Amino acid sequence: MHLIPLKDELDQPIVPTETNPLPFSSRFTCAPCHVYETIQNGLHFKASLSADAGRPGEPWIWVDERTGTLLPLSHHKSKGSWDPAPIGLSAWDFTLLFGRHLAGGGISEPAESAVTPGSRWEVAGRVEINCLGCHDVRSTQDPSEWAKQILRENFRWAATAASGLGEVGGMASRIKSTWDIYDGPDPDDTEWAVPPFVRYDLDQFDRRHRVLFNLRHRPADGRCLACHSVAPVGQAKYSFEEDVHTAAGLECAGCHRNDLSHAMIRGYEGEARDYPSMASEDFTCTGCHLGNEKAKGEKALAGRLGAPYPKHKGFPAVHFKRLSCTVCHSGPWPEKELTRVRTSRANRLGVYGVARWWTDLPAIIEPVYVRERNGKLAPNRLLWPAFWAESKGKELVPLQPQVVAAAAGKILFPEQGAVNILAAFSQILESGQVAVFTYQGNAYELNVDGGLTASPYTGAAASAAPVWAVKQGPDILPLIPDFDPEAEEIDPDVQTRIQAILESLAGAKDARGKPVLLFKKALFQVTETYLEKVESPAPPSASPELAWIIEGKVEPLRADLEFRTIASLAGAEQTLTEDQVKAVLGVLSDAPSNEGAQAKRAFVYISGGKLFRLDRDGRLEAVNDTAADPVTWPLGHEVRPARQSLGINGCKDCHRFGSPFLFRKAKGTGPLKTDRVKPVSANAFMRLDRPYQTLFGLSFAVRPLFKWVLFFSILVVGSVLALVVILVLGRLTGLIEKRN
Amino acid sequence: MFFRLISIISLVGLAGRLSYLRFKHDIVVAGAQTGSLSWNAYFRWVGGGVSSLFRPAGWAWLQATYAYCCAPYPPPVLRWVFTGLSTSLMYLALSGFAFAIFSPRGLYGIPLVLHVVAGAVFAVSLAANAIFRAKEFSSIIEVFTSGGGPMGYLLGLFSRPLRQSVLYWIFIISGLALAVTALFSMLPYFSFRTQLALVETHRWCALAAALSAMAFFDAILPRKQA
Repeated sequence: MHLIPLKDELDQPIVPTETNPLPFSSRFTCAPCHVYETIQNGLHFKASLSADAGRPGEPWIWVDERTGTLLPLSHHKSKGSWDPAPIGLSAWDFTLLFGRHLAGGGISEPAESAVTPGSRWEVAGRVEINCLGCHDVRSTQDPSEWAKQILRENFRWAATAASGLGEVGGMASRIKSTWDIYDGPDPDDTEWAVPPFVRYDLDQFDRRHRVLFNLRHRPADGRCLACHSVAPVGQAKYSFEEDVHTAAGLECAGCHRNDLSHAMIRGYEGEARDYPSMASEDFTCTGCHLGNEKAKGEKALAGRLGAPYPKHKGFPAVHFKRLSCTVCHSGPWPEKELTRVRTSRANRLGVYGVARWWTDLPAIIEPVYVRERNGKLAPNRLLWPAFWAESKGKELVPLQPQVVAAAAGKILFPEQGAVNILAAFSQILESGQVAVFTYQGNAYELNVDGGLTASPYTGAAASAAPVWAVKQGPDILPLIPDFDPEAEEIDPDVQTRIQAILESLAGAKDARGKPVLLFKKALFQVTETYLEKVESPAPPSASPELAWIIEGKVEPLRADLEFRTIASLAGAEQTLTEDQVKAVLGVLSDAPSNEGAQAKRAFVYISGGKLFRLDRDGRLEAVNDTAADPVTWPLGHEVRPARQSLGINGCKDCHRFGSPFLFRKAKGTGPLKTDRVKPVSANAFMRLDRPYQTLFGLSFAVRPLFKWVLFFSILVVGSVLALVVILVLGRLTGLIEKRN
Repeated sequence: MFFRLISIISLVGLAGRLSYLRFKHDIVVAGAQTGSLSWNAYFRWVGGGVSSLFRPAGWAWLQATYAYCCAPYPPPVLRWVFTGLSTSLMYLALSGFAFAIFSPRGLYGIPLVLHVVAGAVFAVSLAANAIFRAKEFSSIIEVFTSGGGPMGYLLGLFSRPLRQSVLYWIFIISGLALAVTALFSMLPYFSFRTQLALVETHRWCALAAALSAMAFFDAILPRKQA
């Protein structure tokens, strides 16, 4: 319990009742007792920026659905992850992207000398270490509110809002970069560009403006899981088990301990070599369950924290030399298919509000068993990276999504044209009617996110070509009523309808020309305020077709490629087609180079374990490249109990032909919808020889026979030996002579 | 490390000792002088012996030795006992010691699979051998019960038949221990620490089996006559 006054970032006491108080600052509020500068070096803060920070952890994944970017980033030097700085991500950019799951400090609290042009630290403030984010026990502490404030660029206000000490309004992201915290509120704008402000909850302060904090030295599990939770996809929450240690009553911080410097024990084998000052080996699996044979006294003994001593009956010793404990005990049981999971940081689990992203990427799968630095196998999570890059010699330089989006333009928004047209049609429909188009077995309608929602449709309006229609209840009716265009007199209602449709199209966003209706040999257009019928310059059409007249030429409402792309991606989690990738690569390559018009730049796209590029004939080719290889990082949890561990059913859990453990494949996934993906076999991850493992697995089929052979041989030899011993004893005792 | 050291010293030492004694015997039988028993002469003799294996005469010697060793198995069909025992033992010893001495990882891969297969052949052959030949080497029972006392027993060891008998039973006991440790390490009844002890026991028994087999074959193989 702490009964303490709050201080702001100017080291002044906060008086909650005064006008426009500043948000509290953990640096100065906690400072009288805790050395902020020492804590800053902790694992979650500056240490996370170290290039050599021990075993790789989960990378930060830059997800951009539209450009199909899943770029793993890490300050650690780990295979497959990219250093943010060389690809142009400043501390500001990084904080904006990932601050939702940063604990403050470190990269999100740069020194004055490290501030880069274009950043808005002066407006948003630095993200100080969010002490309460971990140590506050009160239920008002809300990590989701933290994420929301970070996305609003309310960096210096985020901790106050997340703790529930006060209510924060305004958005720093909307105010000019010349604004300063000393400027206070803007009296001219109280609606849109409102500078952030805080209204403290006065009930939480005493008369001396102190707050009673319920703080805990050891963070509760919920605090850790806000950033470190993992959930299998497609499983009901009640159906998956929690970690056996949690079930037994242990807390995360029970093993993952820290000292005052906030250096933390991660608990992996070999951590003691990376951080010699920490007693890390004591908190590995073996440290608690087997004891530390190199240590003296109590630590040499097994059973810390009530850990049971494992007997591992029947396991050849080689398993303990070649496998980490987690291979058999952690993660999901290896089934035929790898388990897809969502993680807090990658998939933004638990972040405030309704999920608005329209793809479930990044697709993270587990467990793949990868050989680690110490030569042992360990279960890993895996992500297939996806990103656009410029090829510079043998090196690839990833492109930022906004660079790709700017160059690609409408190629990445295939549905936008159709959305604009449906939105235009919606203006003329009656209540209860929804504008749709049907195409290749689906009906598409606008959704609240401004995109398209597809639903299966096999009715009368189903067609291989796109058909504009109206959805009324369960029925889909033609947008244009049936009529004879060659009749002398066309039904006035039909004429009115056609005119309304053409006028709505003329007012559509992104209208490309003059809208017309083509039907048989007739062309209908709105001239001044009348519907005019003229002879169509285009070949006669069997059904009514809406089109544009652009510079005297008839053009379809939307290009076929757009409809094909929409249909191809409907209901899929992928966000790109090969056509789009080919088009974007073409656009990027045609962009002018800084090195002069002669120097043609080469660009590639990576997805599903393949590198896609244009060949000399302009076709899209897919090749293998190390940059497309999956990025993996070890998993420690969820730990399964002994009775649910690999090997509990015998050797054949792993050693048999076709066992998932050794032979299942991880097929490349990514935002690109393609069949050209890279499969990697489990034994390849383990760097094991597949034919040998097949042979070795088959040998287990005859193992029972082998054991019986050994048993009977032992019986025979043992009996002969026993006979000799009996004879010797018989002679010595004289029993044999007596019988003779 | 200790096992590696002891293995190298004992295997090389025994092989050297036995071959040197045989070399000395051959040279003396051939009427050579003391000076011709030098180390150089010994190594020339060893080299000549090894290279002769690749010549027709060497092949003929191998066949004769094989026939000699199979002689105790009168029905020809039982020759597989000797063939199985000797070939499996050679492979087991070569693969086992090579990996134990030179590979920090121990036995693995295809050699391991073949080691397991050879182990089964060895166990069956050993059992058959014990059935067919135990009687032949039962003189050890007489020694234990001869009443000659410890000194008489020790002196008895220097007699060739008794030495063969002792070596034979050491080999049988070691082989039994090898089979037992191999079987037990595959059964899900023994804890990890016991597993480690079983592997260690297996290694030492293998050394005992290899040394006794070398000495036994040296003892039974005929020497050149004057």
